[in-house]
Amino acid sequence: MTAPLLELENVAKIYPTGSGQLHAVDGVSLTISRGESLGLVGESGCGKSTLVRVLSRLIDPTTGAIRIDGQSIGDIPARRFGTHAERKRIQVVFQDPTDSLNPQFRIFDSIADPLRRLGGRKTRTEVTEAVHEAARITRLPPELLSRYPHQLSGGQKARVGIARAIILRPELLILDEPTSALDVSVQVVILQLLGELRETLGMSYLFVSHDLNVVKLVCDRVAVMYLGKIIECAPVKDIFERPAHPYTKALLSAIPGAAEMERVRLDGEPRSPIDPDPNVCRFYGRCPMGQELCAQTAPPLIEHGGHAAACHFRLNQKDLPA
Amino acid sequence: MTQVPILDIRNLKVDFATRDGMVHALESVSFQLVRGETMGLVGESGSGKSVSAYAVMRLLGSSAHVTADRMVCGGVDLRSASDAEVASLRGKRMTMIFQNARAALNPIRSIGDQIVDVLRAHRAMPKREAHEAAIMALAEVRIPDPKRRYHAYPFELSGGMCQRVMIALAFASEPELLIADEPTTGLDVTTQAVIMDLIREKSSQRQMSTILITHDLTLAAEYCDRFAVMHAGHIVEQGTTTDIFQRATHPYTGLLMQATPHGATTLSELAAIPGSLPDLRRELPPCRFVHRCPQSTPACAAPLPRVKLDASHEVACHMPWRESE
Ligand SMILES: Nc1ncnc2c1ncn2[C@@H]1O[C@H](COP(=O)(O)OP(=O)(O)OP(=O)(O)O)[C@@H](O)[C@H]1O
Ligand SMILES: Nc1ncnc2c1ncn2[C@@H]1O[C@H](COP(=O)(O)OP(=O)(O)OP(=O)(O)O)[C@@H](O)[C@H]1O
Ligand code: SF4
Ligand SMILES: [Mg+2]
Ligand SMILES: [Mg+2]
Repeated sequence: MTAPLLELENVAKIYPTGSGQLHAVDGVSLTISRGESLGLVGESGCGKSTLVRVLSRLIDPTTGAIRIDGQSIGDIPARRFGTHAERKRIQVVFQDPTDSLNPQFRIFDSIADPLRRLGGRKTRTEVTEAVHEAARITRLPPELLSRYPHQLSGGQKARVGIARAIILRPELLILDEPTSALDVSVQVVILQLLGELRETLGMSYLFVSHDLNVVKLVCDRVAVMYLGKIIECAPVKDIFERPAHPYTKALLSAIPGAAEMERVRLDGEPRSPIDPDPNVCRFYGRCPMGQELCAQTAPPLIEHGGHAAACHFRLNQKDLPA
Repeated sequence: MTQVPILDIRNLKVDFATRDGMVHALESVSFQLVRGETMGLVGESGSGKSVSAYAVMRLLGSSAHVTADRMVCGGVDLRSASDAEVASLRGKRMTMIFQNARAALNPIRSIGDQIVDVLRAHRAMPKREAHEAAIMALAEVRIPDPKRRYHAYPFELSGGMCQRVMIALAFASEPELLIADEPTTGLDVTTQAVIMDLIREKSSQRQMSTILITHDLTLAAEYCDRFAVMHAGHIVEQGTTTDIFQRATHPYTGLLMQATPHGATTLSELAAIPGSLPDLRRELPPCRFVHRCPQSTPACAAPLPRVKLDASHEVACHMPWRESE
């Protein structure tokens, strides 16, 4: 068997803060195969962007291994990774486009930048053509190319972020909330573009989004994150039709217009990510099914037939061996 | 309604000077907002929603040429008021939640202290009391572990958390007018609902007026009394939520309503609005939608009328259509 395109093993990112150790990402293991699209969902602050920053090697993981094609990239220091040969295989669309665009660069140069840095020798005409092509397929009007970021609207900047990430045709494209700043019409164009790139080039995606309707359209598998941990991971159909974790069920039931599913309301405060008790389930306290056991032993992520979940009392699992 | 509007904007026009020409970003933008009212401002990306908000807050840079027949907020003429007057208006009576929340927060002050600053500037509050109030404010916007998070800096927060801190800051100043530019975009539906409920609660408690800028029409329909629909720098239609959602009259509004991805099961089922926004540097036709419009006729080249369909419902179109009839 060939190695998956991307492999994360027990990756953690822990931030020391004035008031304790903040476990932003805690023991995450994931794989993405070639041509696969993995969705990453979970509520605000659960660690999605931190995971994105770690695996695109913008920051160093506290512990754990990251491999591309079986080759470790986790130990290349973040500050050196920017110019590393592996860099062009992964591109990222960051959640906040303003953060990733250099305010001094014209839009044209922002989009051309990865190509110039990592794309090998290119003539000026080749660069110009590639930039215009990237703008065209992301529906960025060409008259914006000569402007600076502050002269663009929010959604226009978001499209610049996407254009610059796909210009190198990376093998793995990481998208952190790529569509949340876009109106539905442009959203449609971008989602269809992603579908096309995948079909023609076999691109793989890690697609971070809070919009489950969109995830359903573009992903093969979905990983659900809660307070730094993956608590469920399964093919998209299984997640939507028979979620195993009570948190996933609550998420699904909150989708507006969710089909005939009883609404699960989550009471109680979420647990703190600062110095969490390793022996208590992270969802305990808010979980409608929580019991004494959940406060004594944290449930490990266990896989049954391609469907992984971390809960002592998995739902919808009657057909599986106990 | 004979109430004096808190915000009264008539024929607002904004042009930006850029290296390659004038960008005609807004033209003939007019709307009023009364106390306690929530108006949704919707339209495609690049249609002029944020620029309208910035113009009202008088936050556009020097490359912007702003003119209006009338531009009054809470009795203050925004065209002639001094910078100091506008600054005090901005701090106390009108507040904005910015689309890019992280950049709008002070990067070198803890989030709790930022809220305390605002609280103390508005109410003579002792330090300790303000500290407690700031923690409550963080809890109110669902920042977990607010006591400890009080000390966090913006860079230590997630995207959605920055958005929520911005919202807490906005409420701390108890504004009469709140302009919320995509306040919940990065939030999951559950948190989104909490935040929107909070905005609604404040509007009714304090008669706060709100302009909600958003791409999420389903969400907006639930919270807004009224809507203004923008296309390429024009307000093409405005009316009550029922007017807009059930009696959409401008062809663009109709297309905007139909382009929702929800319910689609495959990518190919999705349909985008055909065409794109016109290049705003060009000489623009009276109706800026004419080249995309499925209904256009030669008559559309004439100056754009503002058709009043009834007291609340207005459309800028020669050929208004009725979707359902
Ligand atoms: N540099 C940092 N220092 C300390 N804590 C941090 C830092 N960066 C992130 N965190 C914390 O890590 C947790 C996860 O943040 P992250 O940005 O990954 O969340 P997210 O899932 O992307 O949320 P959102 O959907 O709101 O963007 C949060 O509690 C955040 O406050
Ligand atoms: N400083 C500027 N100079 C030139 N053009 C500008 C400037 N600021 C905004 N624009 C242009 O004005 C138009 C309206 O921008 P605005 O930011 O209001 O859009 P928006 O409706 O808020 O879109 P979004 O939903 O993408 O945020 C856009 O075409 C934008 O490119
Ligand atoms: S382990 Fe217990 S508390 Fe945790 S999710 Fe399962 S039932 Fe809920
Ligand atoms: Mg994030
Ligand atoms: Mg905007």
